[in-house]
Order: sequence, then structure tokens, then C-alpha cells
Amino acid sequence: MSILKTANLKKHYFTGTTVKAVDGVDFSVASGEFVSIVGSSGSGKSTLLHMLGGLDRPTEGTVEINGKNIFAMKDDELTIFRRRSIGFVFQNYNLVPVLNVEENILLPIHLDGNKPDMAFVERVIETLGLSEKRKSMPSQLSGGQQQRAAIARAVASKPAIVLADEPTGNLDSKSGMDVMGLLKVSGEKFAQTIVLITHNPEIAQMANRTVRIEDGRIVR
Amino acid sequence: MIFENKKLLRRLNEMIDAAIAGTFSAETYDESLISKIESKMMRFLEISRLKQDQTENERSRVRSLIGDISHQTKTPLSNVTLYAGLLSEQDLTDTQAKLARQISVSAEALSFLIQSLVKASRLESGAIKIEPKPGDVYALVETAAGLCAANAAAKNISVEYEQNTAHITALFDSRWCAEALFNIIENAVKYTPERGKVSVAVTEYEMFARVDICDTGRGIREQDLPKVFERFWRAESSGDSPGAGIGLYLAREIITSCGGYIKVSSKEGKGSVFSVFLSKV
Repeated sequence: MSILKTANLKKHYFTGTTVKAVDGVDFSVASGEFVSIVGSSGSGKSTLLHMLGGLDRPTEGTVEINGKNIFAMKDDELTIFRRRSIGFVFQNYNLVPVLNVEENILLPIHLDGNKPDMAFVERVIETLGLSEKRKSMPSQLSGGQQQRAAIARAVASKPAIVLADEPTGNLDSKSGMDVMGLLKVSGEKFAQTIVLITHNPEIAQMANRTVRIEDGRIVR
Repeated sequence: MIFENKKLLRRLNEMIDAAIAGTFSAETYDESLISKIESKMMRFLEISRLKQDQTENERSRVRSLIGDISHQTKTPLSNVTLYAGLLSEQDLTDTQAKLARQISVSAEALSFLIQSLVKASRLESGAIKIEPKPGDVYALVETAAGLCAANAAAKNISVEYEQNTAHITALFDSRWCAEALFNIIENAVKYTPERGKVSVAVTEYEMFARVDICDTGRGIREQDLPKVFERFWRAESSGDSPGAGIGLYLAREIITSCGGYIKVSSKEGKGSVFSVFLSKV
């Protein structure tokens, strides 16, 4: 079953001339799949990810998550949908500095006014090797540990899909492999659908399926 | 009316929470809407449970079928191998001897394929229980490399691995992970030319122990990298090399079941590095 589907997705910028950042992308991701989108700098992969996550509206085309066309929603509806259905992992971790690891992980669940499924959250914390760091503040953690906390936060609310944008971009190669391994293992353990954006083909091949993007188009 | 709606929604929320926790039971039996929804929820959960039971029964039937195939093919295959062996001991012409040898080789290949498929299916269906326990990664490497020694020696290939008095502990099922590593090292030996080198190195990370199996073989084309762990995939350049394209698939299934993962990096003509990451947590 497809959980994410794009149709003729385009993002064009008009600055005197037309820049086609994303130019007619059609692809879908099945439930539980781990897909990587690989492309060089300027290939349009980050613009694509931003549209998949509803952070940027397309010039043309649709993005469906769980059968819902997200750009048919009003801005406030989209904000709530995003909070409930999409987990984000960014290059720079984006943890809240005044909250400890556990509070950061639970934040999206509390923001939605829900009671966390603590048994599940415990499994996530343990899987990501954060049991001993749960009361630590982000500033007390290494880059790899911060990114692991960000992955735990993205997975803990059981979103329909996790979108990861260059999650190893700020890490040394050892911590990067740790983080990628845990992203992959978490996806398999919690049947979590994951879309990963990277410029690094070695990291991309750790996904179950790799999609290459060049000049805003998917290359088969 | 608003109060009624709030009450209904609150009860619905409680019902869904209870259904997730597996503790749902209908509380009221009257003509109200809440009572009707409760009964429907019970029915829905019952249907889900029945479907789960059906899936389990299907799995069990598949497991028996696999067992039957494995058992029932053993005797005829052994007979084919035996008679081909007896045939080759007769006074045969060169062509006849070649044909008899071909029968033996094919029977062995078929036997290996059936065994591998049975293992793969048992892993997929959960019939084989993979039980990761803390163990020393160096010891695991030594066991797996030892199993490959004869084939490597036959090709004058040295399989080098670090002997270390220190321990790196990770979680793995010692029997099945030894088989997974054996499959990868054996694959490296198979595709490395005579007098080549295969080396195995262990590195400790914060969350994983990494085992690199590095060969000086023909390497893998970049476009083929995502396919190497697929079931029955073999490179076009494999030619007549023995193998069914299932060893690396099995290795990945086993390592994944232990909470680890595998990746490969390679350059065509310059060899490959298969990296196995075993979880430490």
C-alpha cells in the first residue's frame, strides 16, 4: 500500500528566468519502505523533501500522504496534519536546548495534547541507545547522540512517515554510520516508513530502494 | 446536545485507547448510540483477531510445506548423487565421464539450493528463532574465517584477520551470524582471483561493532550495488562461478534479525568491502 505519492510535482522559481528546482516528479513510497533520494548539490532533492513534508508549496502537482492531498488543506490544517503524520530529522538536529532528551522526544506528542504510549517510547529510547542519556540536556551530548535523540523524537509519535534530510551531514564518519544504522534498524523494528535525502551514494544504498534525482527530475 | 456529543467523543477516545492496549470490552447494552458503537467495536476487534489467527495458520501450513519439500527431496537427490558417482566409476569414454561429472555437480548444486531456500523461508516465516546474545566479535570472525579456510587454500588465497586479546562485545546469534559472515567471506574468496587476498577487520563504534570483509576481486558495478543482497541476484560477470545468488541474501536476513545491518562499497576491478554492523545495545 502506498503511503506517499507525488504526481507531476513541480517547483519553479521566477527570477527573470525560470529556475526549475523540481520539474515533474512522480514517485510513491509503500508503507514500511525505507527509500533514499540521492542527488548532488543543487539537484532539487531538498526542495523535493520540503514539499513532501508540506514545508513548501509546489508550483504544480500533488503530494498525497495516507491518501490525503496535503496541499488541498488550509495552512492551519496542514500544520496539524504535519505534526501528527510526519516526523522530521534535520542535519542540524533541531532539539529544543532547554528540554532534556526525554522531554524533547515527548514534545510532539504533548504538543498534540496526547498521552504518550510510554511502553513504545521506552522501546524507542532503548533502541537508540539513549537510556542513560534521557535526563541529559542537548548541550551535554555529542553530535551523534543529538541526532539519535532527533530520530527518537521523529519515531516516538508513530508518524505515517519520517523524512530525514542529510541526517549525517554534520557528523564524522563513525558517528554517521552509527546514526544511519540506527535509522535503518528503527525503521525495520517499528515498521516505520522512511524517506532519506542524501548526496552520499554510500549512505543512500543502505535504504531498501534508491531514487536518483538530477536537475529536478527523477532518473531511473 | 453539545454535552451529549462531548460525552460520546470522550467514550470513543477511551474505547480506542483500550483497543490499542488490548483491554477493550463493551460496557453498556442499551439502545443508545454509544452502546451500538461499543458492540460494533467488539465485532471489529473480533474480526481482526480472527484474521490474525488465519494468518498464523497460513504460516504454519507454509512451514509444514517447507519441511515436506526439504524431507521428501533428500532421498531422490542422494540417489542421483550416488548413482552418478557409481556411473563415473565405470569404464567410460571421456565424453561419458564428463556427462556423469556434470550430473554430480548439478545434483550438488540443487541440494545446496534447496537447503538455502529452506533456510531462507524458515528465517522469513520465523520458524528459525534468531536469538542475539552478547558475544565476542573477534571470536565470531575467527569461527567464520576458519570455515572458509579450505576453499581459500585451494585457490592460494590468504584470509587474514586480526587476532586480538581484547574483546569487542556485540549482540548476535553465534551460530547464525557465523553462517552469515561465512557466506560473505566465502563470496569474497569465490570472486577473488588465485593468490589474491581477503582481509577481515573489526572496528568498535559507540552503537555498533563493524566487521569489514575486504577482497581484491573483480568488484561490483555502481548500478549493481543496491541489488547485491536481493534473492537470486548474480552479477552478469559471474559467468560459470558456482553459486545460486542466495548467500548474501541469507546473510542480510540473519544480520537484520539480530538488529544489525550490512552495506557494501566497491569499485569495479578494484575489489569490494562488505561491512557488517552488529548492534551493541
